[in-house]
Amino acid sequence: MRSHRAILLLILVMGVSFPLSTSAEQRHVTWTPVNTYENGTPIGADKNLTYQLYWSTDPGLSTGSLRTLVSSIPETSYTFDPTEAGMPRGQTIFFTAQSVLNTGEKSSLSTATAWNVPVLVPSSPSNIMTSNQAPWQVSWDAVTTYTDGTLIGTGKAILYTVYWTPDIWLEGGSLHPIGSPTSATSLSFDSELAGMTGYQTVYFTVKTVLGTGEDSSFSGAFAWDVPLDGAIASETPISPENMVVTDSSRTDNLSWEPVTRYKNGKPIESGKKVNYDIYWTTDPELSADSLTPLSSSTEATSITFDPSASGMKRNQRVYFTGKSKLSTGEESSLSPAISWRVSNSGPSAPSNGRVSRKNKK
Amino acid sequence: MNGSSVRLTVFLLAFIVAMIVLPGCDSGGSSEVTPPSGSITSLEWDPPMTFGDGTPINPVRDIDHYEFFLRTDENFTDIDLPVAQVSAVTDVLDPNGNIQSSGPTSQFTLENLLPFVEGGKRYYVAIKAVGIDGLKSGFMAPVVWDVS
Repeated sequence: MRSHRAILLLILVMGVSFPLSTSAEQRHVTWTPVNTYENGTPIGADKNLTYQLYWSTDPGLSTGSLRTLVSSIPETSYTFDPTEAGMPRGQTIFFTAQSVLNTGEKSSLSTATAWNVPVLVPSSPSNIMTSNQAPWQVSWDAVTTYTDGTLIGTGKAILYTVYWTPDIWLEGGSLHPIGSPTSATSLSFDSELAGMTGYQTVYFTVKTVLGTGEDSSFSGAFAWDVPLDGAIASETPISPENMVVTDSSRTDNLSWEPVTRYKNGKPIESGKKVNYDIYWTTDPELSADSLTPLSSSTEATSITFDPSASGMKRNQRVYFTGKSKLSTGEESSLSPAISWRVSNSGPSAPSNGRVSRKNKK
Repeated sequence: MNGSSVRLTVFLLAFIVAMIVLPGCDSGGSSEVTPPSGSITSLEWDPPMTFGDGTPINPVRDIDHYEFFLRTDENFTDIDLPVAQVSAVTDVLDPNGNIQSSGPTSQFTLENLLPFVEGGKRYYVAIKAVGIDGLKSGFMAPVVWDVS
C-alpha cells in the first residue's frame, strides 16, 4: 500500500453564475483543496499539486466512461459551458476529480457528484403588437436569451412562428399559423386570407424556435379586433361579444353583452328585437354539426345551465358560442369560441369507515 | 362456486405466493382442503354520495375503484402509495357464475393486506375513491386496525 498517496477530500459543488455582459452559459464546479496524504501527513510545500476533473454519464464512473473536463489545474474550481463540454441536456451526469502530485502520485477518484444538466428553453417573444393600419403587420421584440437568462449562442438560428386564434386561452387546437417561421421580428398578413372575419376579436401569439429544435412556450396573447372590410359590411347584427362563464356550486352562468349595432357600425333601430341562440360544443372550430343548443331565441343576455343536464361531461373542455338574430330575420355569424372546462372536482372522500370481525362461514 | 364474488385487484403478489407455497409444502401427494376457520376482519365504509363540488354521485357509475393505504400513524399524505385497490362495483353472481346484480363496493377484507403488516402492531387504514375520470377524493378518516 502506498501510504503517501495524495488523498482528495473532494466536495464538488455545482453553481451557476452569469458573466457581466455577453457570453455563453457558464457553470462552476468547486471542490475542497487537498492538503494531506491518505495517512494524514501534510503534503510538503515543495510538492506541486494539481487536479484532474472528469465527468461521466455512468454513476459508477467506469474508466471508459470518463471524459476529461480539465487537466492539471492548481485551482479548486473550474468554469465550463455544458454545451461546449458535450454534456447531454436533461440528463444526470456525474463529476469526479483526482489530485496529482508533481512527483507522480495520484489519488483515487473522488465520490461521484450528480448534476442534472439543465435543458435550455428559449424565452418567448414579448411586446407583441400590430400595425395601426393596413397593410397589417404583427411585430415583436427579438429573443436573445434562454429562460434562465443565459444568452443564446450566436451560432444558433433563432426563428419565430406566429399564430392567431379566436381563443383567448390559446388552446392548441384553435391556433392558426400565419406564414412560415421567420427570423425577422415582424410579419405581414392578410386578415381575410388568414381566415379572420370582420369585427372578430382574434389573439396573436408568437413562439421562438431555435435551429436546433428547442422551442419556447407561447408568448402572451395580443388581442386585435379584425377591421371590417367595406365589402363585408351589411345590415346584419354583430355576434354576441364578451361571453363569460361564471361557476357556482351546482349551476353555471353564461353571459354576454347585449348586441346593439350592425356589422357596419350603425345602431340597431329601437323597434327591432334582438334574440340570441347560444350553443356549446367540444369542437374548437365550432363546426355546425357539433353545436348543441343551450338556449334558443332568448332575449336575455345570460343563461343559467347545468353542465351535466346539458350533456357535458365532468372535466371536459367545451366551447361556447352564440349568434344574435333580429326580429326581422337577419342573423349574425357565430361569436368567437369561449373555452371552458367543466368542473373538475373528484369524488368526496368515503366516510364512516369501521372495522368489524366476522366468523368465517 | 356460489355466493358473491368481488372483482378484486390487489397488489398482493407476496400474499399470492405465500398462499401457493406455504400450505402443504410436500409436493406430489394428494392434498386435503381444510375448511377456513376463525374470523375475518372487514373494513367497511360508506361510498361517497357527492363530488367535491356537491353534485350528486352515482357510486356504481361514477367511481372506478378505491385505493387502500396503510400507515402506523394517522398522518396520511399525498405522497403515500396505495398498497391495494378494489373495484368500486361488486358483482353478485348466481350459482352458474353469471352476474345477477351489481352494487357499490363498501367493504374489504383486511387480511388481504397481511403481507404489508407485522403481527401485534397497530395500523391505520385509509381509503380514497377514484372517479372514472381518474380524479381522486381525499382520504377517508383513518381507521384503526390492530393486527393480531
